[in-house]
Amino acid sequence: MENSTVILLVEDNPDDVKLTLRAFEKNNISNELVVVRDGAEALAYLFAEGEYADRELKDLPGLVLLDLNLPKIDGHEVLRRIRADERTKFLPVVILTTSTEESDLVQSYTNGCNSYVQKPVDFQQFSDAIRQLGLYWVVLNRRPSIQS
Amino acid sequence: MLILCISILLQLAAAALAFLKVRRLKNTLAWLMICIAFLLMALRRLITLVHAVQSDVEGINLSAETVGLLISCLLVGGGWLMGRVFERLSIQQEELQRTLDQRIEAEAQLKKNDGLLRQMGRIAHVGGWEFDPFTGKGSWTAEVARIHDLDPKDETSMEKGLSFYQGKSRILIDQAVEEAIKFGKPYDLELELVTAKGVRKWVRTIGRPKMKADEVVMVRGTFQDITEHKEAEERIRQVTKRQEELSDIIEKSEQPVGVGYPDGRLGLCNAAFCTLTGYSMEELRVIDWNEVLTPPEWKDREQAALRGLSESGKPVRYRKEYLHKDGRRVPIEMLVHVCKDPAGAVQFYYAFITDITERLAAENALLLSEKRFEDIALSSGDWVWECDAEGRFIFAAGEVAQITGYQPEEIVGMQVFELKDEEEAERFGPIFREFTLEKKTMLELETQIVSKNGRRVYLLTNAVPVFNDEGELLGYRGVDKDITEKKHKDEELRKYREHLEELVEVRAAELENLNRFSHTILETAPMGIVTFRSDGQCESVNKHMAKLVGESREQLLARNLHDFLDGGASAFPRLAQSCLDSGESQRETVSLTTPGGKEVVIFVRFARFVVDEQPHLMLMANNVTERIRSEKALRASSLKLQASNRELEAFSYSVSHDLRSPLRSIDGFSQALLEDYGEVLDKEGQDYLQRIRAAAQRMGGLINDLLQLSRISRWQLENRTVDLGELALQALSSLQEQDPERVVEMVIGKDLAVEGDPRLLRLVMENLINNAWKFSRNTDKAKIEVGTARNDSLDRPHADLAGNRKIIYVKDNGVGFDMAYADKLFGAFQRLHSLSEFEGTGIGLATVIRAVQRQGGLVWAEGQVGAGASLYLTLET
Repeated sequence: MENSTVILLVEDNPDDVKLTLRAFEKNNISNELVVVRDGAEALAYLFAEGEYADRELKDLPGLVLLDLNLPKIDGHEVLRRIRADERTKFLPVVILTTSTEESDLVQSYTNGCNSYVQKPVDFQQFSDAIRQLGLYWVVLNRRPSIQS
Repeated sequence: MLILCISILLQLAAAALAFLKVRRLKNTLAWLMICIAFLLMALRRLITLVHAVQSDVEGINLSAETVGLLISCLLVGGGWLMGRVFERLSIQQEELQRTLDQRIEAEAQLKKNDGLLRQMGRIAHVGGWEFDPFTGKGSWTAEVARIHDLDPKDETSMEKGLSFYQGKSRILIDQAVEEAIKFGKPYDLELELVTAKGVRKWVRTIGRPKMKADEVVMVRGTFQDITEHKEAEERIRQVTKRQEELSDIIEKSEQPVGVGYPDGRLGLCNAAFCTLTGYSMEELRVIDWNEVLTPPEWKDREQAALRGLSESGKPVRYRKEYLHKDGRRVPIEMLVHVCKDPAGAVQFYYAFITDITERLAAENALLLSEKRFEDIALSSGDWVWECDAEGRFIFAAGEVAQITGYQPEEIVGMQVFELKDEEEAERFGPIFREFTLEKKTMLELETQIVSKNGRRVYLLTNAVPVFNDEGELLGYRGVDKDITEKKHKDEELRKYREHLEELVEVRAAELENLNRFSHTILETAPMGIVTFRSDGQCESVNKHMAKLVGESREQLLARNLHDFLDGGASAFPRLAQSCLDSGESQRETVSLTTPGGKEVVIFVRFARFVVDEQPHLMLMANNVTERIRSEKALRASSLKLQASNRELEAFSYSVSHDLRSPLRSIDGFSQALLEDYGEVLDKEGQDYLQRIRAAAQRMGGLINDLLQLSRISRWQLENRTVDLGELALQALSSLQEQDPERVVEMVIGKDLAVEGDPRLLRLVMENLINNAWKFSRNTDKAKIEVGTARNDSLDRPHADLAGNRKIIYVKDNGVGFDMAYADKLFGAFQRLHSLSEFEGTGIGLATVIRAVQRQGGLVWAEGQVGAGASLYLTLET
């Protein structure tokens, strides 16, 4: 695992945050996990705005885990804006949501998500999912350099 | 010696003398002998002389020699004398002989002359005669007798000779003879006589009186038969006369006549020829007919015609043109004869020439006229014919082949009845006989023939009788028009008319029925129907209208468009007018109060129709008061339903999102507790946590299934061909993967394709297969079958419901169920087994039934406890 790669978790439910962190931990994923609580904050972080203004813009996370049902700006809109911006358009975004609605799936893929993972109720399954996500997106996946 | 020599000389002289005699006299032999004797004597003397000379002169007998000499002298003298005598005799004899010869010769000549005379007389029919004028006695040669057809031996006389003349000839001869006798005047007459055999002959008689002392003693003459000569002369005279006449005719003839020589010269030409060619006789004498008179393009043809003429000798007739002197061309017809010399070479041609300018014009006019008639006849599309009195065709032209199928040359010679079948021949026979007997003109006669290819052809015949000069009927000449098509059309038309009449009858009956039917419909129609005239007067009202309005029919019939309904009917005249103007039906919903005071909403339609060319209006009215009311209610409830649907959607969405999150927390933290603080808890505590987790997961499952169920109603349906067998196989494979240890016999039948929504059908098959898999878990030799069921293998109500639709079943040999609970099977959360027996949410079959029903299908189950279950389904199609 590349410890240097930051994973951005966009999740308003503290239980889910905690469980996600636990799953990371359980699966020995030691990457830095930045948690933001709503869509607006997620965008602020990504584009180094507001409270994240002092952040280096070019230090983008290696993976964004994005919930759909979010306060302020929902997950679909966040994804859309990520894809709309030149700087972030190649950013791997995995939708991690409770929703099993077909409409959510379709819309997410339309907006350009890289994966869509439904959070299972069974923690064991959830943990497995997180492990596979980490393995795939952080370790195996290659993406073009944003700067170039 | 001398004597001897003289003797020799004398003897030689005597010999020479004798020799001369030989030549001069006839008595040659005697003189020759004398001559030889002298020669011998001379020779003897000569020998003596020689002897004397040689031996001695003395040896000569002089005396003997002298005697010899004397004898010789005597002999010579005697010889000479004798010679003279003989000569004299000989001359006399010759003269005598000559005279004799002359006599004989003269006689022969006379004889010959006489023969010649006779022969000549016979050949030339010439004879001679004489008579004594005193005695009248006469004689004539045999030829003269023959001319008179008399025997030459018979006596004749002057009188007899004259008796053969008659009439004018007798007068002439009598006069001539009298003058000859009296005055010695000779005569030369050509007269006619009649012979003893009664043959008329012409004779020439020339009389010469013989005078003796101024007196005629004899009349002599020649007599010649000149009948042939006379005839020849007559012929020549006649020929000459004819030739003169002919040349006069030719000269005066208006027909140009000309003689032409092969070398191009012209011979005799008449005045008409001059007129025709424009040249004078003098000019014609020097021109070349081939070069000057004949135009270049005619030369070859003419030469060919003349060659033919030269070979055959038969006159030829041909047309050509002459180049007139003034340059005109004159069309002519030549009739040319040839005249050949005995060797067969052409001497000249003579031609009778006719100026055919006018004839050509007339011919052309005739041709044109004929052509015009022919064109008219032939272009009429008709068949033009001519037949004899027996109906045998002698001419056919025009569209004969098209009409009859026979070529004109085939038709000619055929009898008209050969073209007819038996029936038509029988019909037409008497007609034809009547026409020919009465020599009538055939006018618009309808006949039939059978064409060569067997087609029946109807003809319209027009024909006129043709007569000869005596007025006898020769036949008919006419035109046949093919009217088959017209006939067929007439026939069709007739049939069509009959058919139409039939149709009219049927139609009238139908109309009658329809009228009754319409009336019944009108009366029983669940709508008010009123008809108005265009002026607005009400014409008819049905029962329903009366009921709708609440007035009697009679009351309504008295009204018109404008006051048909009180209040609220103000729309009627407007609608009626638009309808009349546009012809399109007008519709509107009108609220009004009936005369009975009832508030009603009616849907009215105005339609225009035409009866007897008069526009009418029909008003149809439906009382829609109730409908409007219920529609309002329906709309309201539909709105409510939509609202609740939206709520439901929001609800299920939030369920999807929010209801499961806490469960995940419960499960997740229970797990965390177990993992992190497991050792703090005793076994029971751990068990509780496990139960919490199980409950949470179960609830997660429930929520998933419920969401699934709720989604079924909201999905957009597609219709495709879906192979349910394939879906079943996929579901089974997936289950087998999850539980590789299980052994289940899977039987998937054929022909499992159905029409339906692929997602819903997948859901259906997954649920059914899951159930079968699950409930056969405890069965040995578990078996799951998917197939199609025959309708007649089903129990009654389901069979009826399924009808002829395809029935698919999923059957297992698992725990089965009690049919008493069959109706609970498909309710949501309805379970027939405890969770400890078989896990599950109880929503599976509820999902199946909803998914199938959504597609208009049916689902039912059959089962028996311990003997498995069969789930049947059919889809709409």
